[in-house]
Amino acid sequence: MNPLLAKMGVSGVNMEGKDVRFGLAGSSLFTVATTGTSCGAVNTMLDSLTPIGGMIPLSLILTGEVVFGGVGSGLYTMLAFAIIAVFVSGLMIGRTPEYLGKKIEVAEMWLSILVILTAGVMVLVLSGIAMITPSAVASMANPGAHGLSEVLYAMASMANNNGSAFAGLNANVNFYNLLGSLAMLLGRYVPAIAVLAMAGSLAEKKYIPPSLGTLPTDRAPFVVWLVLVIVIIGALTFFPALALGPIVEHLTMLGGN
Amino acid sequence: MKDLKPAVLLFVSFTIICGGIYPALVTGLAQAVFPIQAKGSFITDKNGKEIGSTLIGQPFSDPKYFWSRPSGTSDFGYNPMASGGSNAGPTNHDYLKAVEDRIRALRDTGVTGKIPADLVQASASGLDSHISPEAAALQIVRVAKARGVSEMAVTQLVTQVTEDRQFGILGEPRVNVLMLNLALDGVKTH
Repeated sequence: MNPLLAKMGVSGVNMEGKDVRFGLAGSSLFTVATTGTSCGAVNTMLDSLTPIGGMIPLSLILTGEVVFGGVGSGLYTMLAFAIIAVFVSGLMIGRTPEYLGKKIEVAEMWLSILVILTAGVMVLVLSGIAMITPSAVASMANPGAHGLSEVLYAMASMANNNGSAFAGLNANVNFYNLLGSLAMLLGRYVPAIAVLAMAGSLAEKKYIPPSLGTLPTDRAPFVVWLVLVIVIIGALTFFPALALGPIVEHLTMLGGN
Repeated sequence: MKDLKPAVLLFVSFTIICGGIYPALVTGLAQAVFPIQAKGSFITDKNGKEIGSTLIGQPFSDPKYFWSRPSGTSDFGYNPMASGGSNAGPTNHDYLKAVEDRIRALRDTGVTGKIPADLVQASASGLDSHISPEAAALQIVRVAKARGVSEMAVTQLVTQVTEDRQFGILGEPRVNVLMLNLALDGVKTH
């Protein structure tokens, strides 16, 4: 519910950008399903979601659409996260970092960092450039913090191969066409190439049977750890940007402005 | 060179399968099994003339009809050639002012109490053919008065047209505005 509308005597959930037959549940489920996997279809206008409501699909895209089984490349992003999780936990508890019987070494670490950070760096740098470019700012459909959310979402969607949008932003201007193509080219192909390189490097290594020093990666603790690693990396990378966009808008909305 | 033959063969056969056979099969099946839905869920009157679609909303402004939701389509509301939402953010001042105007317009018709959100907020498609049962209930007094019929009779009609969740779980309860207005006018539809 949008409190600014509640004040005017409106009841019920925020229905801007939602069709009655889908309602809140159908709209939210569809939105999360298509942004968690790299699908990008919508049954809701994401731009009109409440600030935190809009931050959810944005965050799902920013963490790399790691819900695998989708139409995109979720599985390999998840594998890169798994390798990072193995490495970090290995450092913390003093075990040899290995995954599925293969030693994780410097090359794999570099490559998995490329997989995970390329899109994020593209999103943040390009959104930053957009904020100081008058023609990019003029494309925003909504003023203030929501405008930043629109730009962030556009860059995130392009760099992570999603395709949905905060559609108020007029992206058909030279700025977004040019920088967007750069985001798509680097955000999509650099991780793909890095993953292929990692596959080659791992294939060449000898299989090491699990020993006492091996961290089991098929148990519940590792699953929890992996999820935490994804959340921590996502939060560290994007929290400042999200704080300036959806979070600040949420607070101003609650404050009655 | 020997790689070329299977590549060309696959290209040609998949073009035929995916580009010809599959679409033809699906179109044929749809026309045979769901003919009405496949043609666009058109509503026809007793002379067989098409008067609308159950899926594409239409705007109403006459007090004796139930009103549809606001629409954010470009050029004009309920523009079927430009399906889309308003894309207005929840804290946009121009948008809040627009909602305030819609609320005032409803209040001018004698509405008191809380107003259901779907009646003052634009839909995703801009062509939403439904309103919530609450939004219909809110308009019963106005419609009954404008038509000079009892509120009971209108309420009964609204209940008749109200659809529940599909299979009991999918979607939300809803009222198809066009079907309701046609029922009000006593138009027989097919």
